[in-house]
Amino acid sequence: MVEAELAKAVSGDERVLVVDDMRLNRQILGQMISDLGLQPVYAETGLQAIQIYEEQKPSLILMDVNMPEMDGIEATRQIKELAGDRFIPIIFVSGAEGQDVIREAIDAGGDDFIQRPFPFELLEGKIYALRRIAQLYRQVNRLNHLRAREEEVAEQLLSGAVESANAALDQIRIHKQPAETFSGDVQLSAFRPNGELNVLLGDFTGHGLTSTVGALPLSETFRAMTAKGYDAEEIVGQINRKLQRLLPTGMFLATGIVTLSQDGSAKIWNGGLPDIMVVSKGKVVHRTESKHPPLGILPQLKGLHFEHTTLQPDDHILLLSDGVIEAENRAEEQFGEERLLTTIAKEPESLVDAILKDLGEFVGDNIQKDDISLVDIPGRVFPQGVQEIASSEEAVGEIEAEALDIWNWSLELQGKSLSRINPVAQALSRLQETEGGGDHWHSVFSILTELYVNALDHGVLKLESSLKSSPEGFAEYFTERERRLEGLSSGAVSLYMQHTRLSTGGRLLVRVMDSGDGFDYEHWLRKGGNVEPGQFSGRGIALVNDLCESIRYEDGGSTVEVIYVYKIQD
Amino acid sequence: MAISVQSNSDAKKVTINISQQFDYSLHQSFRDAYRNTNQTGTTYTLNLSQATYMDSSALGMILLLKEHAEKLGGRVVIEKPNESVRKILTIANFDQFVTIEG
Repeated sequence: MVEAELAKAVSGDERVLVVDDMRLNRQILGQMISDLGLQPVYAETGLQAIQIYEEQKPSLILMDVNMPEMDGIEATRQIKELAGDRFIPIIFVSGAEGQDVIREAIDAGGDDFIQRPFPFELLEGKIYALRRIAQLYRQVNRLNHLRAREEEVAEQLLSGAVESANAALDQIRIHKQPAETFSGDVQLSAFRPNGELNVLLGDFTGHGLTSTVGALPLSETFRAMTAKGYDAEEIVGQINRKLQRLLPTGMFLATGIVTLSQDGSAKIWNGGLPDIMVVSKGKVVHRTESKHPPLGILPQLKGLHFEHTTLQPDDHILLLSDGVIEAENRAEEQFGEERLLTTIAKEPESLVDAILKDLGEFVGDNIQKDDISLVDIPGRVFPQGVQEIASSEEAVGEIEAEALDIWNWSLELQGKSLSRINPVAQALSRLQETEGGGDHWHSVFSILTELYVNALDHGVLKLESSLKSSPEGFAEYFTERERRLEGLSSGAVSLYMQHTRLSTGGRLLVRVMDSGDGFDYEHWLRKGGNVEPGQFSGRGIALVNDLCESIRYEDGGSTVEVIYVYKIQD
Repeated sequence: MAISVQSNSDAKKVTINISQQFDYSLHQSFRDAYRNTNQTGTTYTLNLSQATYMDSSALGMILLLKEHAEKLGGRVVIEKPNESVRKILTIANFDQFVTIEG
């Protein structure tokens, strides 16, 4: 194919411009051109050469050096400039002017130099060689345009698949500014079944097409696991395993992940990104430094360190890629954190807009070298169109009569498996697989989570929830929880579910037993299950109480059984 | 030259010195600096004292060097990074699996 095109181009009837002020020279060169099967056109001065070049677009130029009006050197400079991306070969043909002229001619853009007298074969060889190069140029140009077009299409497809499914885009602000068509940065957001928001910012090594190969498996893992209710620890672990298997050595993903509850409590993890900041009224009140290597490097992540903090409604969490901090101006200074903090201190209405404005003014017209990403999460984010949870007033006994079918499922976790396996996610996917999707599983997820966490934290790990009575203690509680979970060797929690399908929906009985000593549930029941506003503990069980038909404690509080009833609307 | 190599096969030591910017442009010459060294148990010292800047592709290049060294039963030691280079290494927590000295 290439060979055939080449032959066609060389043998084709194409114009060669001969520029010389001497008639005899023009005649000799013109004859040679004709003998090669090409068509000569003529110019007598440099100025005329430019004009004819523009009119006739020859495929090659033979240029004299010394001419009146404008010499061949200046004409070459101007023609090369006019040609732009297009390659127009220019061969200087001249008498004995010396070495300096040769250098000048090549500097001006000339492609070759030939000195009189010369044999016909020499000119013939040079013309053939240069026309072959011109052909290659055209091919490279065509391929480049093709690549750019394909990249644009691929980019649209990819960002469609990766980012169009993001949740809560009306509430969180995501800005992405790639250095090339493809960005190595990936921003993801999705809600867990209990209404918590997971947000991930990832920065693949490098940028451009090659750094995007991991984006699809990354977003699929993140979304599927978030939807099934897995928590951030497990998602990070799974993404790491997947990328470690998938990515070539030397490629990895700097990652930040945030889980934000509807009450403003947040859980933040950072592996390789600049500090993730919580901003309150122009001040950075909490920083989550990178305490882990980026994902995809180590086969196993050890001791995931999540930071816990609580946000006021008008606080913000700010995630950014290193492309922001390291953006350079013409003087090769970096934007740096200090300038970032100055922008934040101005308490702008929109953090992202203000940072982009200051960053843009700082960088000026300098070329952007790395992808730039900013994610701004406000202190409170809610799923769109929150469904009123349908709770049934019907008595349990009445429902029993119309039971269509019953199945049950159980899982017992002991010792170390408690720190590794999340039975709630498993239970929930069993329910969804067997009974189909629906909003009622959001409530079931909350119920299962609260009951399981209580059994694990208080029953097995023997943590005191009174620890959670202050914001500091709140964080301390989770650190302690992590420590105890890691060293866990005994203890057990078992989860039992019985699902009854009803003509109107279903009834779910959940029983959670732990190996602990129970607790003074009578005292709690006497209080009527009320929780003071601002109180950090006791929320969970109050929520379960609200959602369920009934709640019953046995074995001194180490076994709890609840019944949840849901309706399916037509 | 942005990269220079000293190699002492008796002592099983290869020292790679980086000057100026340690980034993607050094990809090929960095690989060339160690790919033909194949003595088992070699310690590769990556001297960054003259490196002014490092980007994430340089981190990737270090991982490739580490893989090469470990295949030969050797190891990688990063030496004397300046403050800004050290910051990049710290953010990526490379100290958790590569020795950083000086």
